[in-house]
Formats: sequence, structure tokens, C-alpha cells
Amino acid sequence: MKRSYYFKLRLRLQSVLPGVLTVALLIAGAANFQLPGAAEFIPSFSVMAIFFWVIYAPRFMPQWLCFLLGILQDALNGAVLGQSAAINLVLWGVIYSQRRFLIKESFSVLCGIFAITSLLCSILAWLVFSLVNGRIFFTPSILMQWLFTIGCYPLAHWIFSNIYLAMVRNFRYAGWR
Amino acid sequence: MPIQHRNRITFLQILYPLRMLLKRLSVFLMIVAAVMAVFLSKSNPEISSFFRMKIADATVPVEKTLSLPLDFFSFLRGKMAEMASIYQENRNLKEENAALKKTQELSLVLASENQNLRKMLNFVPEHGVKYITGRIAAETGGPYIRSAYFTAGQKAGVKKGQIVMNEEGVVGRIIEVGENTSRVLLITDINSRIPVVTGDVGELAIAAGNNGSLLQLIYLPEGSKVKLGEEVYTSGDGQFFPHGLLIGYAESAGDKNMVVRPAVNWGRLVYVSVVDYGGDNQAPQ
Repeated sequence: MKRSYYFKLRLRLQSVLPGVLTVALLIAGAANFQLPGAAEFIPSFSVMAIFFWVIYAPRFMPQWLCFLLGILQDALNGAVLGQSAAINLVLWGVIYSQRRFLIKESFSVLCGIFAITSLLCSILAWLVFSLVNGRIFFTPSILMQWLFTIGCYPLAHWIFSNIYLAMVRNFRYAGWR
Repeated sequence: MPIQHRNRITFLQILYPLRMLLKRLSVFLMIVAAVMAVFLSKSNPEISSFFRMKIADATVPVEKTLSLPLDFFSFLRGKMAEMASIYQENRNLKEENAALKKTQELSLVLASENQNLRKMLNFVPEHGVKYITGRIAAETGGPYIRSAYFTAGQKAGVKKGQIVMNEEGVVGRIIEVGENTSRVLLITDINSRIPVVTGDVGELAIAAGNNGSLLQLIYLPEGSKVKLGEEVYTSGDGQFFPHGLLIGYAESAGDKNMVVRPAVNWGRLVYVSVVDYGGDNQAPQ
């Protein structure tokens, strides 16, 4: 069955949706919310997005996109360019190597695995920051940010799942794999 | 029957193992690229700053638009707080007004005396101070960096090193300038160090940020007699901050490792001014 040009275009646009959504979340998360200390606790949207999409549909979250997301994240945070990109790519590699097992897990188990993964990412980010800046420091807001990240993950998972299912339906209808 | 060469080897098929190898190594290669980007950013901060400000010029207008609806809620919150304390505030204002009238009379006498003394000394006035007022569109950095993006840049005359203030006190200083945006390093950032002097006692120290909500007073002399709630101002030492700008208030008394609560309310940080002291972008000493 021959599909129209606009239908194909719609599918193409849908396939960039995960990346666009993550970029939008990163930009929105940096906005001035006029709340004291809000900037410290904004959850790590890139970790949530990479974790979900690499498990369920890695073709929508390729390595180069993780690299670019990291560069954007560093630019928005005023950090040294490249440090978040490196962390994102390590996360990508770890999740991709385990996705065959992770894809079979239930939602609650995945949330637990996400909590451990995001904690490891926070520790890695802290180590990289300390290494890049040549000093070791600790602030409780690192732990607070991690708690906010794991607290927001179920909602993010639900949103990403709905997007993913809608995409899968459209792609199957079009006969795309 | 002619032999059909269906399995002809193409150039792409020769390259197939190489492509597969690259695919397998792509994550590793990209991690290497990211690490190289970190080294490049550290060794050439200008390049890093250029890219960062290009991205900020593109994203800050979006962040500014997103934070606009919050102004309404902030306004409502302020109004409700005012309504709750309106009677008490009215009484305080009346008392304050009476005290200010006395101060005004005194300051008029002092101003005229000051003018006469300046004439006698043939005093050359300093450059006029200019203000560039804008909005804090984005507060960034997560737990590691305390910085914010300001909605004016090179085009508006913002320069690196200029001081950012609001009506409450010092907010920070400009560290990166883009075309239409600039980045402010807040005084609470771990890399911020400001030479300060305490208001009443006149003790010199350095106000150091620690990525928390308070500043730490370091190099305070032993046996200092700083009082609780004492005002802390910039001392004018160093090259960035002029003398007499309010930083905050002492949170404890007499300790060697004292902390200062910044005068700025970070929850109400929306409109700020970049202070241009003229000359070569340096604050007057």
C-alpha cells in the first residue's frame, strides 16, 4: 500500500520526537522559576530520557544525540563543555548492553534499577566535576537532585511510554519496522 | 544457461566489517570525543565560552518566555503577603517616615557642606555610573554551579567583569557575554571570592561562596568582634568590586568561621541591573 508524502513526513517527525522532547525539557528546566534554590533540584531529564529510550527504542536515542544533549546541558549549566556528554554516553553504553534483560522487567523493578543508575550517574557527575575543577566538594543538593530525579521518573516513564506506544502504532500501520 | 553473478562483491560489502567495527566502537569513540571536548574547553576557555553563549543566545528567549507567566503568580504572592501585614506595615512606615524626615534635613546640610569642601579641594568627579537593567531568564548550574543568564549582552553594552545588583544588594558579576545574553556568576558560587568589610567593626575578610545559600567569611582576623546581623559590604580591595556595596548580614557573632546571609532574596530574583562604572570596565577603587 502506497502511503502519502505527508504520512511519511509525519512518521519522520515522530521519530525525532524523543530528542526534541528531551531538548525542550532541558531548556524548560533551566527557566527562572522564581523559587529559592529551584535550580539546584531540577531533576536530570537527560538521564530519564536516555534510560527509557535506550531500553525500549534505542534507534530514537542514538549515541550522537546523547552527545549533543550533553553539550546542550553543559552550555545551559555553564559547565565545562563535554562533561555531561561523557556521562550520557557512559549511561548509554551501560543501558544498551543490558537492554535485553531490562526490557523484560516490570515497571517497579525498572524504577528500582533507575534509582541505582541515576545514583551512579550523580556520583560520576560529582567525580567528573571534582576532577575538572581540581577540588573535592560536597553539597546536600546533589542528593536532593537525585531524590527529585527518582521521584519524577514514574511520571516521565508514563509520558514516554504513551509517546512510544503511539509511535509504534503509527509505524506498524505504515508497515515500518 | 548463463551463469548469474548474483553475489557480486560491491565496495560497500568490502567496507562492511569496518562499518560494523565502527558501529561497535561508536560509543567508545564518542566518549573519547567528549573527553577531548572537556580538555579543549579547559585549555581554551574562550572557545568554550563562544559556543556556550551562542547556545544561550538561542535558548534564553525561550526560557524568558517560559518564566513570564510566573510573574503573575509572583505578583499575587507578593500582594497577599502585603495584605496580611498591611496594618503593621502602615505603623512601621509612619515611624520610618518620621525618622527619614530628620535624616533628610541632616543630609541636606551634609550635602551642602560636601559641595563646599569639594570646591575648596578642586575635586575632579568620577565617571557617571550607568545601569543596564534586564531580566534573569534562567538560573542554571544544578548542584555544581551557581550562575544565571541575564537578558542583555554586548549589544546593550554589557561587558565581562561588570557587577550585577538589584535593589537589595550584590547579585554577582558578569563572566561571559553573548550578543543578546550574558552569564552572571552568583556570589554564592563556589568560585566566587569577594573582599568585604563589616559595617560597624570594620573587619576585613573574604566572602566565599560554597554553592549553598550562605557565604563563608574567610581570613577574618582572630578575636574579631563582628556582631550578629551586622551588615557586610564590599571593601573595594581587588579589581572587581567598588567599596560599599551591600553583600549581606552576619549570621553569627564573633566566630572565626563566620557565615553571611546574602541580602538578595534568590526567590525574588527577576529584574537586576548591570552597573557600568565607565572607563575600562573596571570598578572604581
